[in-house]
Amino acid sequence: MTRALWFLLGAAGMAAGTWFGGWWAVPLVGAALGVVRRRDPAVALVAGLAAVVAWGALLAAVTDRAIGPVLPTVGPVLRLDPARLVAVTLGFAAILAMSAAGLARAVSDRVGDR
Amino acid sequence: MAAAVRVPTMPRLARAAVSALALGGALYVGAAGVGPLPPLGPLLDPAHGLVAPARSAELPVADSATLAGLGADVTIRYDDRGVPHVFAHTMTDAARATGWVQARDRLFQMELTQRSAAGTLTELVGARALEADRSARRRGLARAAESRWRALPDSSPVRALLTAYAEGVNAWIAQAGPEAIPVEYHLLGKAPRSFLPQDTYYMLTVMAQTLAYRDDELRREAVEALVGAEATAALFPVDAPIQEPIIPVAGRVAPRITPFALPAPSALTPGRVAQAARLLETRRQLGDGGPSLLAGEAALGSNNWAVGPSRSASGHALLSGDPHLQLTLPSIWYELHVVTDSLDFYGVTLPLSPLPSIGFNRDVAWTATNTGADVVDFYRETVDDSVAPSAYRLDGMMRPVERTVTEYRGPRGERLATDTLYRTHRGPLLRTEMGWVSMRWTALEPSDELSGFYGAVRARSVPEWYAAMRPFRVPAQNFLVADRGGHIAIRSLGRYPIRPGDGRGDRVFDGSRSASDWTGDWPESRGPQVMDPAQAYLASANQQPMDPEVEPGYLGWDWPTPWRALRINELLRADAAMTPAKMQAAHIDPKSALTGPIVNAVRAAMAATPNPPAAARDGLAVLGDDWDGRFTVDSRGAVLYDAFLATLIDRTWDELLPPGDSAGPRVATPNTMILARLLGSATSPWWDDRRTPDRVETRDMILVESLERAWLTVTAAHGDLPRDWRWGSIRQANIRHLLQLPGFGRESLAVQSGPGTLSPNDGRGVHGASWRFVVELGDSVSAWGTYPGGQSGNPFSSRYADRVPLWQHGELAPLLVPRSAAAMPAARVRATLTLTPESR
Repeated sequence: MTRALWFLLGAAGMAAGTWFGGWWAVPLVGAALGVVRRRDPAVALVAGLAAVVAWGALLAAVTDRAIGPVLPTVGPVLRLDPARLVAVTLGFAAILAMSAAGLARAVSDRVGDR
Repeated sequence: MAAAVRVPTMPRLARAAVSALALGGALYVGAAGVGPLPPLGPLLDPAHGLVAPARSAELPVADSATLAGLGADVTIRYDDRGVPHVFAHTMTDAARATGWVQARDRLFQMELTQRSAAGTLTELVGARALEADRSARRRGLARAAESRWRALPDSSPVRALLTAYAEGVNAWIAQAGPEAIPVEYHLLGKAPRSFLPQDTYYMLTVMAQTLAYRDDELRREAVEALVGAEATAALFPVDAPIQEPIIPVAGRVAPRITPFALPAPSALTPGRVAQAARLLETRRQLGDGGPSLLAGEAALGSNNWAVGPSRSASGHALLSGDPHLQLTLPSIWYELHVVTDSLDFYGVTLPLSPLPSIGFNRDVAWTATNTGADVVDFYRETVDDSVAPSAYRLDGMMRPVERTVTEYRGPRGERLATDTLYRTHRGPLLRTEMGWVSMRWTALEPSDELSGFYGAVRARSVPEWYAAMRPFRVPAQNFLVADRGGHIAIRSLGRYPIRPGDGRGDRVFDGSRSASDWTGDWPESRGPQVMDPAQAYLASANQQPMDPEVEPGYLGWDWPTPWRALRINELLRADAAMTPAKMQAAHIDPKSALTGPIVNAVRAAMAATPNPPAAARDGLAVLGDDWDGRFTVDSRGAVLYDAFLATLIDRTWDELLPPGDSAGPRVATPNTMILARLLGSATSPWWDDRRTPDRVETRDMILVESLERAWLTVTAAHGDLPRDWRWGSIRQANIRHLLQLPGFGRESLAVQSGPGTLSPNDGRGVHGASWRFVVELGDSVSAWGTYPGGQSGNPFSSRYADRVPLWQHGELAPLLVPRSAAAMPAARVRATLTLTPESR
């Protein structure tokens, strides 16, 4: 399978996992990507991008694409303007996915070497 | 894509270590939070976190659910104002459905209210609420709520009603997904608690605390220490010196002005200064007493008025309600219409109650203002141990103190603090700077307000309504009622204790004698009441209910100013063809009965002053010549008047500043009724400002200097040119979220309000009209209303604050009152919810 397809699969998995499970689905799917694609040196990046796309899509869906009015309401509560709130949300997902994929890749590589 | 990306390589172990560290850190911050941050994972999760409630912001056009316990289907139609019209066969089914719909719209507010009475806010928001919780527990609010619930007989229909209501709330919670749980829970990282039927009584104790708790006698004693007993009695009198009572006096068309003399303040001694300080500290220790009347002008200023058929254009009775409370989002009220096989009522409920406090049915309409009666007393107790008393003295014998250990828990169940609560036979026993003080308060004693409201919604006439409300005791309210038969009436319903001796309760009593205790309650027949007066109109604005010259008796002291009452009566007296539109306009009437006497006094002072300062002359040109005395949003004169009045008050009541602290705040501030009366005395020693020891001021000097200072203050703040001043830019309403969350409130709203107007505003703008409505009781009922907020508690909802613009401009929306679900105009139906019994 191509990297692009894995990227899409990862994004779909993270979105579905978050929707039906919770935020912890992001590192879980990220780790799965890291194991399955351990030969891909860019798997962490792919996982991170997948997380950004997944949570970005969820944000748009949840707010009925009305991110504009919703985020300015929520942002001040966290002392963040809307752009920063989006950045923090997507950045958090990206870190979870990238680090999980990177760690899983490293561990599975080592196990595979043995 | 695969060929295009080249990733720099890193040693495998280092890569693994970096990834592990990043993942560990992210998981920790995600699951546990860091510092003041809540756990970020559930918070930022777009499907279940902070923004998830955006998914449930709008009501589905058609929705259905099963609700265990229902006897039959219940149809709920939401109109275009977000008001649920509940169509059920029985009242119990309607209450169960009401629990569901209120939880759907206001769940967090309901929990916050219950916890504020229970003293368990710390479990939700942490240690920052510890003092509020301590205050609630020490006052015994939860105990009162529980004992009222226990006192309800098993056969009481109210018991069944509240049980069904709580089950409706819990049923909604049980089926609610994370997207439906209010955003505040996501922020706090908490889940909703399960509700109990008695929670409604907790909510009622919160209202009682807002409306009927006063500890001003402690502040009054501090004033007495500073200026002497005689002066204090004149500054904070038992009877208002301007009598415009709620109960009209036959033939009287102007207020009765009573003789007024303000004795000179007595000389200060170090002992009295120390005593004043002790008393003020005691008051602080007893917790926040809410808005004090001794603060000059009451922040809460409710109004109501009604006219009989002979004074309305339509020939029907008209009733207007304008209760003022704290402005919050979500709003304090929830609008509701219920139709059952035998009932049809509409009104505003306090979330946590299935019954409206204010409203109407097809025959009767009712509304209320706060009576403000004195229903709290304090007693100095003699105890056996000044640290942890186990007994107190009563009539020469030591009686045991009831002691209860209570714990305050944090959000994670951790113990934050422990307290011992003490009680005497009178009520809570509190440790203060002046020793141990016990408290007796009607709100902590048996009463059954809900049975009153349960009967009231069934009433077909004014007499039936009052008969049904007989159980209502706390907080005492001036209930104004009109019916379709053209009758209007007002009665100050409540429990009024009878004290020993002179009957007054404006002091702290000696707790060591049972002779200090209340000896009974006013009989119902003695309470302020009138029906169908000859003048054919009635009004109340928190003023002293009865003229003591006509009906003596102690109900309270330091009554709010009569300016609002005078203005309402002026409007009603002048118009024998009142209409709903005129009543609506009166809600934000921009005139104040106080303005005339104040402006006339300063005009006379200027005329009597040779060579007044230029600033004062400029001020008089704006205040006395250019200003029409109206507090409109665009008014310039109002800006100067407000600054002038504040300066005048500051210059006049310097005797009430804490000794040695000329910056204040004052120990107490007499209201403007006293100030207006003092203006009649040109050389009263009270005009002398003790802060200027080298001169002795007179009234005219203070008036002119206050105007000069006000001019300088206003020009410095708003510019030299009066045309640049705008009242609406300085006097605004601030509707804050219940948790004061930024972004969730609506602030800096220019509103037409001013000192002494029907819509008073103390400057902070956090109190105001909480619900304005007008009802016409003709062949069919017509009603108009609005409140500052919206039906939904979800900040993402279009129904969260949609009524604010209408409210801000003093407009009302027509209320839809269909007799059946089928009769509701399709064009005005926004959503339908069908609740069906579980067994089907």
